[in-house]
Amino acid sequence: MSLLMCDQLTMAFGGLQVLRGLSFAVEPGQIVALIGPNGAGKTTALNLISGLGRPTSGAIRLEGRSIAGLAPAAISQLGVARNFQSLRLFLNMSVLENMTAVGYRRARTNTLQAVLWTPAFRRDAALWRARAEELLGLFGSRLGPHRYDQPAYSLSYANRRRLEIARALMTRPKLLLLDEPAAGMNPHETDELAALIAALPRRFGLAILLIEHDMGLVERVADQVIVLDHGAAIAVGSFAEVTADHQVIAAYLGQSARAAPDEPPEEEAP
Amino acid sequence: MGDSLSHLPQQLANGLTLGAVYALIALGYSLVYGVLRLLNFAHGEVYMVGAFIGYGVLSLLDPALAAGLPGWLGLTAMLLAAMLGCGLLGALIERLVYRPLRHTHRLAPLLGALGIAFVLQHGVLLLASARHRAIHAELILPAALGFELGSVRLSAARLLVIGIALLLLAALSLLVYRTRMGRALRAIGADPEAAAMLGVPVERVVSQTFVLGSALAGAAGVLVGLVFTKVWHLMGVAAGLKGFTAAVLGGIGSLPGALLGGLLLGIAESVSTGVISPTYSDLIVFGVLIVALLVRPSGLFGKRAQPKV
Repeated sequence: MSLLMCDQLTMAFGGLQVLRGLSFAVEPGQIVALIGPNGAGKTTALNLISGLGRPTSGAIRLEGRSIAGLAPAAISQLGVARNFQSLRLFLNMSVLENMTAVGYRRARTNTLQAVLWTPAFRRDAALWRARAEELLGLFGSRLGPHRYDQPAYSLSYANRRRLEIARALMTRPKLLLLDEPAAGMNPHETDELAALIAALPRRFGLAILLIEHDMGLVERVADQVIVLDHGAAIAVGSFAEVTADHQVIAAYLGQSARAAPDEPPEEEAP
Repeated sequence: MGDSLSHLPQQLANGLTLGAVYALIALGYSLVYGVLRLLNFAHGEVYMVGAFIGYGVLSLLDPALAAGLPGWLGLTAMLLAAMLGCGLLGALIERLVYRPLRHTHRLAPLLGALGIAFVLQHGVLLLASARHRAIHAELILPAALGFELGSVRLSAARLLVIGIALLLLAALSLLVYRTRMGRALRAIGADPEAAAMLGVPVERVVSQTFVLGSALAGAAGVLVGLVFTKVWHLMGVAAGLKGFTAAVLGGIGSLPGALLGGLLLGIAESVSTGVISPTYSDLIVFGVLIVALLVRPSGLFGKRAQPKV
């Protein structure tokens, strides 16, 4: 069974048809990239999968179970986590606090135990912190111990992106949704990130659905590439296959969209 | 005037007591606002219910205290009962009124809050009548007990209010800044949608926030009863307004702001009552608020409002 199955998804905002019958699947352990010109519906698809909105029609199944229209919290509990293209860290909280604030449904102790500072609570808190440190350690010294107590707003743009990925992993997802994780990173940083992303499925037993404009990164990490244009998949296959597809070339270079594939995405200043 | 000025140190000391109570009430406003951006205008009434619970427990314990039950045990029972009762009441109000109204029109929860305030006032009116009920604080704290420094006298009750308020403030800041629940609470305040998508149990934490804020209001009710030795069903109106004012003055959503705002407001009220005139004290207090907000619109500790992207 596919981990994630999107079947004939459509989404309309008023008269604007953003998705028109999008279908694709993500298998366990796979890295799938969604690419396409700006406005093709990539982020909308990711939002629907994570529970921000209900599709106008079509089905979304996680391990066979329908999740279309479930609340974001419920979908998180079923094992989906994400980062945000626009960056949504808890800016006034420290790096470690950002990590340890989330996903604690899996914790085994309650607030009363926290107030009473019981041994079980302290053990739980120590485990939780150790997990946070392990995940921050994925980025080596970039999010090293000297950054733990710094407020998130003091981090560089690239570090904010890294922290969002680490924070999403705190929830132990089966499916990690990454929306432009390399946006704003320089080529060297993007390279580093590509190596990390490629290693995540095996290390944590998860699959990744990735939106990315940096084609170098997509080429390096994606097992499968889905090309979106005007809200529907126009090509599915390996990176080499889809980039040879004349429909894809037309979508990127033709009249329908002037955005080049490796053009940096529009982002507000950090 | 010269005679009134000689009262200044005593009024400052009294203002500290009043301010500690306002701070406890203001914290409840700020906690809830910080998490939900909701003005819980039923908060003053929860405080009033807390005062009545304290009154009820004291009446029940009256014979036992007369028979020699230590006063501190009586006080602990009053505080615990009021905090527990008000905590539950707060959670109930959230569950029954605010949660169903959360994603409706922005004004709906505000009107719901006003409705709940009337329900509580009139509920207590039905149960306890409109009479002022006397709190026999001397059962717990001998009136002669106290502390004197020159011309300034602080009764044991006033000292106790300040001490307990500080203790509760310290406990609250530990909870908010040192525990998982506190981190979840701040995460929801920062970005509820992102928090939910990352597995923060938003509804549970919101409930807990109401329990916390309401328990502090309950404690404030008991403490005020001990100092002013009476309770009545409309006592929450002015206190709620002052607590809200203190929260706004300090910067609503900010916990240190609530503390500072409460103390400043209490001292301003006490000093203007004693040194200038009781008739004008509210005029002066709210005048100060208006001036403060003109200078710092988001309060002393408030952040400048940032446009949402």
